[in-house]
Amino acid sequence: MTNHSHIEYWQRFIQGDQEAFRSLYDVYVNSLFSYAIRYCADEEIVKDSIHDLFVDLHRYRSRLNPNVNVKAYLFGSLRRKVAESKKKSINRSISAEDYHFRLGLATEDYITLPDDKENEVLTKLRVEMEKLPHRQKEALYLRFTCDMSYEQVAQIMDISIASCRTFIYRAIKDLRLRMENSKISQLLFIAFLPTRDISK
Amino acid sequence: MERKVEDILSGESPREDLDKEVANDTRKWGEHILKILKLAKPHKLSSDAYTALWTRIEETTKKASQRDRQIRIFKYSAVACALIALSFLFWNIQDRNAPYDSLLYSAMNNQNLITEEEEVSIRRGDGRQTLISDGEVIDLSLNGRNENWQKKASTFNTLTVPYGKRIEVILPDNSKVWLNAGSQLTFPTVFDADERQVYLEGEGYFDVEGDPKRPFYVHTANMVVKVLGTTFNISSYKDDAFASTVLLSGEIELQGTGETSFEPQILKPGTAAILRKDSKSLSISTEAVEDHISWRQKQLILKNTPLAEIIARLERVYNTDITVESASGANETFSGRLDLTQPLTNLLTTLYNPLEYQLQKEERRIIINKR
Repeated sequence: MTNHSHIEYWQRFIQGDQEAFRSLYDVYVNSLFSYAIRYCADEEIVKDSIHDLFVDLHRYRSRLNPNVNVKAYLFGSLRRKVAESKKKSINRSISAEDYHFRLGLATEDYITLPDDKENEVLTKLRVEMEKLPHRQKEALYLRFTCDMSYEQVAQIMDISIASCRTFIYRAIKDLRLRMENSKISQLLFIAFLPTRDISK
Repeated sequence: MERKVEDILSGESPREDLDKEVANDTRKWGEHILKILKLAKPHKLSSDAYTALWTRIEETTKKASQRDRQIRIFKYSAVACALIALSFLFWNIQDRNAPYDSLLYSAMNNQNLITEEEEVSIRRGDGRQTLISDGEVIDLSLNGRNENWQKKASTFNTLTVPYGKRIEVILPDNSKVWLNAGSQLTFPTVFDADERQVYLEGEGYFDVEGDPKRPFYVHTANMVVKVLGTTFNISSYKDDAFASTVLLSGEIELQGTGETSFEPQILKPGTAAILRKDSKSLSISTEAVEDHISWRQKQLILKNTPLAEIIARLERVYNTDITVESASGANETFSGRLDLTQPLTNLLTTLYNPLEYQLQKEERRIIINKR
């Protein structure tokens, strides 16, 4: 499926085509779910938000822009919906929980590669990536996992394209530094046999 | 010149840039990061959840569009209502019919209470309802103790007397009304300064407080009785083939309403006006005036009264469904006096010879069979 045909679904849907509405659901629901579940671990909230998103689309379709970037528009709308319901459901005292993004790169999900040494590096890298700030993780996810342009990522996260680039740049730089530090600590580990905690 | 991996990955096309990268270490780095992110586990909805979610979306959108349509219809009807209300308003400035319209509106709104309620009750304009125990005289007069009734001037009260009950009420102007079984009287909390209007469904005996400056109007489905201060009985049951007004003292004027139109008729004391609903004809008789009001003394006076009419009356008074299986005798007429304090079965055995007819009694229902 090319993006071109997706915009066609979108435009047909706006004109009142019920089948196109269903196609939009089929095309986007899994990627939307996959994204939102990283943003909010509560599956029910995510499903409710997707429900609300599609219901709103249907309800206000006559007012929708037919020439929008569909994917970015849907991701961005869902992001807002999830954030709203999170605010409502979680008690407001846990303000740190308001925004978080989990990359979900857990080892057991990962396809094991034959090269043990490379595997070790990748495992370490995954752990370090999960430790990155939430917004950097979200930018990485949208840019590379979802294969979106900076423009799309910026639209979804409601930030400028420049800050979007900065997020990615910082994330990679941090990763590199952390990995290099951990290499040093590994060397130290061999030399002085300290506990692994030092690497943090 | 060696480039840093963060520069490459934050560039416009990291994939291509990485391929061009010569420094092996930087390239390896970028590959690793991209690989991990590309292979991030997609969290798919289970197929059940996938279908269930779509079904839910579909149902909500259907409901929502129905609601939208209703809201749209509602908007149009609200505009229409406003226009109608406005035109009524202008019309009423000329016609001065507004009190009657709202009276009629209240009366029509509460009609269901006759069959729904078990006890005598008053429903006020604000929707509050009070049940009244048997035998109590309801005093709503200004001198009465029910001061809270008078606070809201422009509201209407509906007094409902279900089948099997009777009640006496004193209206705000001190007029007395006895309401027979299965009747309803709608009246304002406070009467207007220049006229008193009530709406009656069923049967009522009125003893109207004389006040020539404030005529008293009793509206019914078929006629209006204009009163200057007098005693009279009106019977206007929906399920009766006739409506009657009997004047005992004073003077009243009758007017047709709705589909019934006849020349305004002035009734003299001791006369009864009977309106046949089918022919819409009004007849005046001087006979048997007291028969019409005997219900107040818990008596039913019969003078060549058709059996079907007697049964209809008994049904209302005793709140019992009387079914006569054999059609014979329906046109038979009776004369005499029925004591309404007697059990219903006793009365029926005087009408239906027990040798010829068999009475079968069930809960609130009597079936009469020919033997």
